[in-house]
Amino acid sequence: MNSRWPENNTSLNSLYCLGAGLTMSVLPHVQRIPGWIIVLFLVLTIWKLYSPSQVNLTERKFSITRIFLFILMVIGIIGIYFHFGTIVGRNAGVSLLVLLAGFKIIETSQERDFYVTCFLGYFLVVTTFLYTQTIGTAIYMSCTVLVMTLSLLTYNDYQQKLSYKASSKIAATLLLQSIPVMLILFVLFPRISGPLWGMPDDAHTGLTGIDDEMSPGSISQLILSNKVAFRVDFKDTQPEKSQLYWRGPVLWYTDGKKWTRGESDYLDAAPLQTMSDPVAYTVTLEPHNQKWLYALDMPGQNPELGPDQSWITSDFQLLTQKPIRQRIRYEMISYPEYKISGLNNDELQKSLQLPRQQHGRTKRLIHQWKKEGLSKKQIIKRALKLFSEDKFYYTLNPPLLENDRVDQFLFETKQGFCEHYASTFVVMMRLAGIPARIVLGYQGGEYNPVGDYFVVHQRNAHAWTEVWIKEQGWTRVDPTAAVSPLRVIEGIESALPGNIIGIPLMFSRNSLTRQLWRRLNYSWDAVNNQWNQWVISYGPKRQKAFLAQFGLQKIDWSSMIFLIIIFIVPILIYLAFVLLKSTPENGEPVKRLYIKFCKKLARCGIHHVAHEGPVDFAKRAALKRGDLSQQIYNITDIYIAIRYGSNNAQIPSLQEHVRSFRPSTN
Amino acid sequence: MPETIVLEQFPFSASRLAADNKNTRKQRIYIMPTRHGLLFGLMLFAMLIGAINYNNSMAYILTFLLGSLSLVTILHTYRNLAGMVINEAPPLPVFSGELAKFPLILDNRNRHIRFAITFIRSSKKKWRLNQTSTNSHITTCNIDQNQLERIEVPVRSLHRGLLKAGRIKVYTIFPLGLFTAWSTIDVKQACLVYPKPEGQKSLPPVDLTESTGIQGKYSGTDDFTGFRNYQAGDSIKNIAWKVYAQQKGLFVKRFIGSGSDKLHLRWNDVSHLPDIESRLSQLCCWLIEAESQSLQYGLNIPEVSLDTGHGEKHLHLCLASLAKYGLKI
Repeated sequence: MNSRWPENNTSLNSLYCLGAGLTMSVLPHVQRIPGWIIVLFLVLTIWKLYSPSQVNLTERKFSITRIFLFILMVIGIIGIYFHFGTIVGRNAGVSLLVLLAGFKIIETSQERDFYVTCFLGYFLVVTTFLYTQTIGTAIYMSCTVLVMTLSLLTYNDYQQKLSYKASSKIAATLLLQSIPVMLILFVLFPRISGPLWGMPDDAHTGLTGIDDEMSPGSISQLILSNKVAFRVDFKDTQPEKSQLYWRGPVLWYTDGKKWTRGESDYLDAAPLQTMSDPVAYTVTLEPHNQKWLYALDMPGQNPELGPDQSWITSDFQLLTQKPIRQRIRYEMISYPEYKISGLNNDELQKSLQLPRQQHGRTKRLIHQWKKEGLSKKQIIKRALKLFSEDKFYYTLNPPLLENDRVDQFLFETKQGFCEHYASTFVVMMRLAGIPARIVLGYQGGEYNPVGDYFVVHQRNAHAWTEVWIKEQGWTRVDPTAAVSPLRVIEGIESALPGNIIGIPLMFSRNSLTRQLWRRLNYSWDAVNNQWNQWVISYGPKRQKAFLAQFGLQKIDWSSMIFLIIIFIVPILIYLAFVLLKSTPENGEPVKRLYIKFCKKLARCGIHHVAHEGPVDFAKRAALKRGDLSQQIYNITDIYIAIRYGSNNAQIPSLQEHVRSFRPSTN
Repeated sequence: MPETIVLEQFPFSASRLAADNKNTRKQRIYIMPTRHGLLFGLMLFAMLIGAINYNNSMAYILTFLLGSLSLVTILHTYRNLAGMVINEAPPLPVFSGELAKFPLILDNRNRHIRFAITFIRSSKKKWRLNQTSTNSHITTCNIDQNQLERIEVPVRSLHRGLLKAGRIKVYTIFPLGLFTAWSTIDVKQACLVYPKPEGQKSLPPVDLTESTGIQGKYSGTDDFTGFRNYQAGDSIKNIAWKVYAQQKGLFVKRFIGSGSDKLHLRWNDVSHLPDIESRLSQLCCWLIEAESQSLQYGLNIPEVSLDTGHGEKHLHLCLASLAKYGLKI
């Protein structure tokens, strides 16, 4: 029992399933872990499947193969350490698991090894979910789980009587029968918010959001994301759509290619003169793994996440102590009309910084404008006019910029996205001696009339600028609005060119198929949305809200477990009923009728014996109960005619006779 | 009529007809996780912790799916045994040290195949249910729907006498090996164990006066005593070819000589051996030898006296009395 390999070659089936299942669970990681680990895993797996008995390590404890494999594994672990600099992070952990799976399958020769390898495969499936939880992943992983279960099943089918088809059917049945209980557990298992302990540093790399630096293309990537950035609930008044500038990080420093924040984090806020009524609102921010919050221009207060957890800087960024890795909610007050006075020397210097010996052509253009005697305000207007009148295009797919990006954009390609316009505009202002800076954040938002709140998606990501004008202080200028005013007024959706949607050729022929495609897209989006709403983000909050619908507002975990038991027990009893019911012995209706007849006779003391045929039994019964003999013979005759003469037409007659057969017990 | 054992059925399951029979005995089925089932549980726990820590819905789903799978597996494992009907059949005698094989007739009256049903002689250490001791032999079989299957549970015989199979554990871990459903059946049939044939092969000298009776005086030479009708198996050498040539039929010449002496194996013949068991072994050895040499042989040991005879049945009678010698059975 302990080692069925290699003397029993038929067990190979389960080994093949195991290899296939493991490979399936490893493959999604191809992009995330070093290629050599995948290759090593595949080599080990194929080696084992190719010659299962050759690599049998049970025979001798210290064979050359064994020592070789051990050294290879140590090298592998060291390799992982050097690649990631650790062996505990998320990616490193997954790499380690894949490596382990490879070495485990190669030494699988005993029962215990087989199970351990199989369980490792199940565990690898979970690791994929740490990266992606889409519907596609779920379907793929269901197949993987099926194959892993199949390997367990074939392993336990000692005599290998089952074909792959038959055992797949059993495995699928097992899994399908598990779904009801799984659903109950998923809905009712008490959810705990927050991590139990610190997560590895790279655990949140999948989170999307605005980065703390800007280079061409960094925002247009976000634009393609349909993910929600945050939701806003305005208390009383909603500002106009053109005022919906959600302020994030402020960028000061440029090297000619990318923009970064510089060091303004710990300075107190500059004096803010408010010129309108405050707007009060609540923000529910999705985790974005960055140390800042978003607020409407201009934030008037510290959101008070907790003592020393958040603060407001001199350039009105809302910074936090820790990266935002959980969905959080905070109340804010902002002033759409404002005046920021005061510009210290440090800031002045920073807001005029430019890389040396770059942007030559732009510099000449600004000099020319200066020579024309334009004032600073006029230069701002002139620059915006240049964007709006000189064939500048707003596009998500701008030509690639090399060399001097500002010059190339301004004089050659003239196609760009908000980051192009913002960065070029700030460079122009600084060349003209006007202090300027870039603000990253979101612009606009989608009003949800059902829930009465604004949803700001990642695709609302935006970059705009602020220039210092002596009388007005820091003033917001959005150069993108000059190029594509719709972008600001009606939102990003209207500004996006149609081809972004990416209608495939076969659908783009005529309007009908195009419409069909769009409808399909909407449906798929809706399905995905439901999936995200009900499956992916089903956490403590959702659970509370869901249970509240059934009048279970205040339910503690012990009553939830009680509920689970209440629901699961009937499901299992029903399953047991279905599984353990029915045997053909009295499963056939005709036989069942005959048994009913026998039972009726048994009540008057005439018991049917297993070895007795119907005719003999009838004779015996008729002898004992002469009064019933006619009926007994009648029923027996019909029964024999149906059962042995295939005279099915008489079934109703048998039914009738058995029903009316009521022997008196005396 | 031997007893029929029905492994426990669910209250609402069928084949109650068999259970109503007087000769049937119901046997309870127990279910426990296997070692690997416990390991599986440990893995599920790790998964759950991971799911909670990362607040990952899909990890929750997979954990719950596999947890639920193990619950469903309990039912399937149970179903694999439940309602199975077991009948005993008498085992064939063996020599001490050989494997005694206890036949069981398994009756699957259900609509599903029973997979990988395993039989093993239950070890005395009941608490080590998942442990299979190395010297126990296991038998595994599938039983198709509505079919009978005959299996033999081997048990190593250690002493002569009657070997009882005792409690035989029937278990299955199908389909996933996470749970084991088992039941123990008390096998009533006993296997007769002959002594181990040991000792010298050469037969003891025949005691002429006693062993051959009246005809003893003719012994020493192959004296012709007469004809008898030919029977299948008679040696060709002894056929009376002359008579056959006269077309009077096929006859066999009969001789009296030492080769066809009646051999009586007596307790005295083995009195030189130190203990009873080795004496019995020697007698056993001689009996087999005598049978193979087609001798007429008898057995005279205390309390048992068997007249001379020949053939398989006679050998069995002799060996059985050796097996039972001195034992109160």
